[in-house]
Amino acid sequence: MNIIVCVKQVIDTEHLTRIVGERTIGDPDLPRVVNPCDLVAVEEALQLKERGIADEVILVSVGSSSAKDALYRCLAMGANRAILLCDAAFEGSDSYATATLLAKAIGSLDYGLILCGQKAFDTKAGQVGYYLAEMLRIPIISGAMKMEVPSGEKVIVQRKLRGGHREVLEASLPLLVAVEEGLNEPRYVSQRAISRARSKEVKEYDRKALGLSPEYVGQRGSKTEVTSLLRPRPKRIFVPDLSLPALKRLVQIETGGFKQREGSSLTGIPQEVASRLVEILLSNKLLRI
Amino acid sequence: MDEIWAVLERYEGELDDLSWEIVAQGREIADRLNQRLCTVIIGSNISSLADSLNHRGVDEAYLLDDPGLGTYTPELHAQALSNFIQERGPRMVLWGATPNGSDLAARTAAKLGLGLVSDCIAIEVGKEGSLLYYKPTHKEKVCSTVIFSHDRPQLATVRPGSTEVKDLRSAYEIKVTPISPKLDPSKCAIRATGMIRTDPVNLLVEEADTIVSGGRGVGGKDNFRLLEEAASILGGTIGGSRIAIDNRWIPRERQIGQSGRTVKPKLYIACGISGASHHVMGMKDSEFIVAINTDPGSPIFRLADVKIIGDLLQVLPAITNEIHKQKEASKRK
Amino acid sequence: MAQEYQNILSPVEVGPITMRNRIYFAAHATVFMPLHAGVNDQSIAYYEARAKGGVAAVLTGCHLIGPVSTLTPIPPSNLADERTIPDLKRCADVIHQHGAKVICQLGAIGRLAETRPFGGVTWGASPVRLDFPPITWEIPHEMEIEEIQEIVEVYGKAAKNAKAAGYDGVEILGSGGLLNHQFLSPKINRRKDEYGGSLENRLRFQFECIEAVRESIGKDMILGFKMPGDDFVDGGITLDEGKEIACALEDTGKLDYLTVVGGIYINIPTHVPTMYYPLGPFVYLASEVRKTVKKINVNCMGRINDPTFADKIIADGHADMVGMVRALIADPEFVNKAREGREDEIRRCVGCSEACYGRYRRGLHVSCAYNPQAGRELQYPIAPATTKKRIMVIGGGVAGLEAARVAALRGHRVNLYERESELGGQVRIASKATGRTDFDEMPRYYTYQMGLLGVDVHLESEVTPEMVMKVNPDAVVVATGSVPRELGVPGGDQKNVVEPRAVLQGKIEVGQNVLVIAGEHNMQALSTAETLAEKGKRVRVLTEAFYAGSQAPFGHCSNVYSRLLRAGVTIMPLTAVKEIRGQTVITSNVLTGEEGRIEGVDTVVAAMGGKADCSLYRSLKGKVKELYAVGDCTQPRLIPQATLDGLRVGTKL
Repeated sequence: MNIIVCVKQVIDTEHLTRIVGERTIGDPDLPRVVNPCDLVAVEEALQLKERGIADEVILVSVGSSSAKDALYRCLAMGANRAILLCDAAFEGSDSYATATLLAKAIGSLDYGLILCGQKAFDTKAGQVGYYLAEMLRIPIISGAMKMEVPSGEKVIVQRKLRGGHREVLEASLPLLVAVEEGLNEPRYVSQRAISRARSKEVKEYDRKALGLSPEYVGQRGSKTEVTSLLRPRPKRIFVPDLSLPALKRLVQIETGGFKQREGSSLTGIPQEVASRLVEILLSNKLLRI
Repeated sequence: MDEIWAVLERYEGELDDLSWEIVAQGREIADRLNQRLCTVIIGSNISSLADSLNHRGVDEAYLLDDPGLGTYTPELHAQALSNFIQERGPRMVLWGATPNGSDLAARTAAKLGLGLVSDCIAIEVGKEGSLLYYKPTHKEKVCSTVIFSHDRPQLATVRPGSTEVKDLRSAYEIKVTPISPKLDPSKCAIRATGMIRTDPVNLLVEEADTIVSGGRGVGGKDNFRLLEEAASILGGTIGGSRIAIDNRWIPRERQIGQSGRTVKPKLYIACGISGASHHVMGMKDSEFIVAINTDPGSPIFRLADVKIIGDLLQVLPAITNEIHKQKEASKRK
Repeated sequence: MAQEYQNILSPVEVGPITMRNRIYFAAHATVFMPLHAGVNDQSIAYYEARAKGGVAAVLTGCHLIGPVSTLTPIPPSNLADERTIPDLKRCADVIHQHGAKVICQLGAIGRLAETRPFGGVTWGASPVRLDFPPITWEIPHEMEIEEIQEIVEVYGKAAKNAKAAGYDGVEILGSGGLLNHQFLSPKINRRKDEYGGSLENRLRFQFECIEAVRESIGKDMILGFKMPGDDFVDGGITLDEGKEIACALEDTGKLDYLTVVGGIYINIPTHVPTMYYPLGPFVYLASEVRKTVKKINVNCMGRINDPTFADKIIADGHADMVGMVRALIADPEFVNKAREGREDEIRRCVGCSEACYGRYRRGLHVSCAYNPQAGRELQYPIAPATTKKRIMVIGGGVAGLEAARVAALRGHRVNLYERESELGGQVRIASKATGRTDFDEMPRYYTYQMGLLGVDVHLESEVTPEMVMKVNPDAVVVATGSVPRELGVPGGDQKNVVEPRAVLQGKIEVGQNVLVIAGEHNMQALSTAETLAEKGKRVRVLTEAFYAGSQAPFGHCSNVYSRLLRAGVTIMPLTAVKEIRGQTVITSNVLTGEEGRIEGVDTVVAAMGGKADCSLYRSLKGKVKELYAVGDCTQPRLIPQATLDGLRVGTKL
């Protein structure tokens, strides 16, 4: 059974010091990397191939021609071949339009499992997998922190929940699993290995080759549109009550602006205090026995 | 009249705290657009949950009630919700951007072939009722503004902590409408087989619902054991003020205060902490604060819902023992 | 790079120039030179230490330009005069050598100048007297149009000189109650011409100054404007107008950044937040402005002394850069230490303002309470010792700790002895007062340094002359501190008369009705009074001076006064205590001699300062090879003097 891994090349945000005012950060000089979650997906696929559960690991990516660098890195890790969907008409694609492209490319392939990263480092939508699964009519499990494929038939996933808890889910193949960082430690590859990987196959498809009409791709095929890139909005911060006179505003700032609470005092020997407190906590549903 | 929907999540049988943020966000938009705010709650036997929404700024509560929806089953929940959305056609649907909320929103968007803006920090209503969504991207270095190419329904998940919760009490008598959701379990391919719960003691302070926190009054690293025991039995974790970190009693990531972490747990028990402003700034929004200190003049008492003037070295073990006693008693029943 | 501080350590573009990180040494009065002057050797060494320490930029100034009064011509040391260029160039070169940028802050003093020293006339936007707290009670001359133009011109001249000196940018001081602020604030500017009234008119002067400076510096230098976000006086600028001002300034298209601060008067805590304030109390002004402007950089400052807190400010989007003053005076290596993950080594500013702001108000050069080397970089360089000695330091208060630290740094083998179970001496006691827990940072810093530098610390060790003889060190530094001085009036030895150290340490029971005698004129009496008021006691404070705490830094004193008054404490000035009889205290007015009685006093807390505890020193005189005494045991004084003693001796050994 083959595994398909969706890979995205993203901007290395460590080096982003200023926003360029266009709708997509297209500056070709900005350094780019493989989306970290996608590396985890590639690694997981390779480990399954090494265990004999999968035959081929096929990479699929939507991007400009620079995305080939990302694909070569993943090919150097051990993937077999790659498909790059590249066309100026694909610019401005949101998650939905990107999924449309991926679904068209993957639909004709033979696979048992599709892996992708949970979220892209840059756009952070986390939705492509869902749209893709729906379009391919296969189930999706996301937020995978741990994955087991005991045979070639089903997958057992630990899914991340609130509060650090995990849910255990399982489903039969074919299936799409979106993986989180931390599921595994992607292997390191040297520059030399990446250069050697350039001999592996990267097949490029543009819109016509994919067989999609213009209204299904790019901005036209999207359901949402990014209208501008702004400076990040500051998080909420305490602002004193501006209707107060100046000296009172200062006192609010000095004392941290918290509202005084009319607390009840508990007195007595420790056991009495403790029992009274536990009563209060139970009645306020702060404790469950 | 058009509707703005807020899909609320349940956590341990109650509506989770994020609900109030989503209601606040939804109410603001509903008011600007002159529309109704309706909450959607999905679960089993949930009629009592709507009561807590009364007089809280909500026009109507839709209860999608079915035995199969007791726990969060992604595919069934998505079916129930997407069918209901198709039936009623609301203008906007909001969820909290939690693991389950985000999952349900994305599944719903995919099923209906609609767009979704995830993890918004603000939604603005423009002229002629257009909606503009603010979403942080590029590792928080950029704020993208997003619009939908279709007018309705617009789907969005809201980042927890981004909306100020206003006290909307005494407004809006709520109408509760139970709905029988359309479900097709045969279409479900994912089976839930279990749950792995982490020991809350290992949680980060920002994630914990209960924090037992220690300051100068704890006196030494060994005494922190008493705080750990109390935290453990309360289902929480430990934290501390700057002194606890400077003295190497607890690790740096458990420091609470302006030069450490800011926390908003349900329960904060401050032990031997005087309440200096830089510590208080890091925990003042905790829902319920208990302060234990031998000095009645400690500023922390001004912030406490329950004040205990006493020695934490005696009071904490007493609390731990009392809870232990009650747990044992209830097991025997 | 420490993952923890990736935000403050990330570079940022400010106009045409990229800053290497987000922290800069903001402009502040250093008093190495007169306020209208440029830089000298002392200030260059001071700035160099911070540039070397890793800051992205050093702001020199504020350099007050323009005539201080009509009788004083612009002196040759004023930046408007070309003769300052060589010194400025030396300064710029030194800062550049260490990889930092250098920006020149320019301002005009306006009505804050006094005519008494110079004669002549002071200039202001309107003839309006300063309110409390006064720097001067004089009413200025209302500037005529030609005089306004003269100031604008002089801004342009000074900026040109900064450019010729190789500076990277200029910052116009539009806040702090100086001339630009005087034109901007509706509280002060009552003009009826085109420079007063509407916001547009009040901005006119600012635009003209900005234009003049930009004209002189061209487009390759940075131009910033420090503006008030809120005047914190009724009738002045509030945040709503502050946001409008920021947008208008951005729209000139000539500025690269705005620094948003609060306050119109430069000696209450809005300017220099005391330790009673939380960290970064005015960051919200910068944050709100940053949310409102389109894309100009916005900086914040004010009591930001911790790298984690500073990192959060940037991470949460509240500001583009963080300005620090006291934090960097206390530790010039702040940025380097954060970057190298050595944050425990940072000497964090405590917010006491004793030696930085407190000295400036007296016309003395800036320093730091427990970094006495600040401002004295040339006088007390710390170099390796030629002969390594075995040193015994007796006393773990700040004087002894500083001596031990410096001696150990220089390579000596140091043993430190302390009687109590923890280091810190009187500073540990001071930290027990309400709102003063920041003082604990001093012993924390020193304790960590002792470990780092290999000093052997012996706690709970009382040292006798015999012990010293036995150890036979090469040098002894006695730092045994002081004991509380007695009240010295009849009845002063009664059981209900106590001293503040024991009260703060919780060693004594204090009754309900308390009288605090503020006999030491600094913060001890006032902070003890507040601590007792917090506990619910009825507290009255007596002082012989015109006001209690008259020796304390003004901003600190006025802050604690406001807290005491809010807590219901009564303060009685010009009152001496003549006698204590049981629960009655007999007082007398210091000027008229009139007697008074205060009845029903349960406890009298007599804060009379210290009495040198020099018995060990005396008994060692002539008996050891090298003997020194530092701190209170020579003369009871305050923290800055004690640590300076320690530095002096440490470098001498």
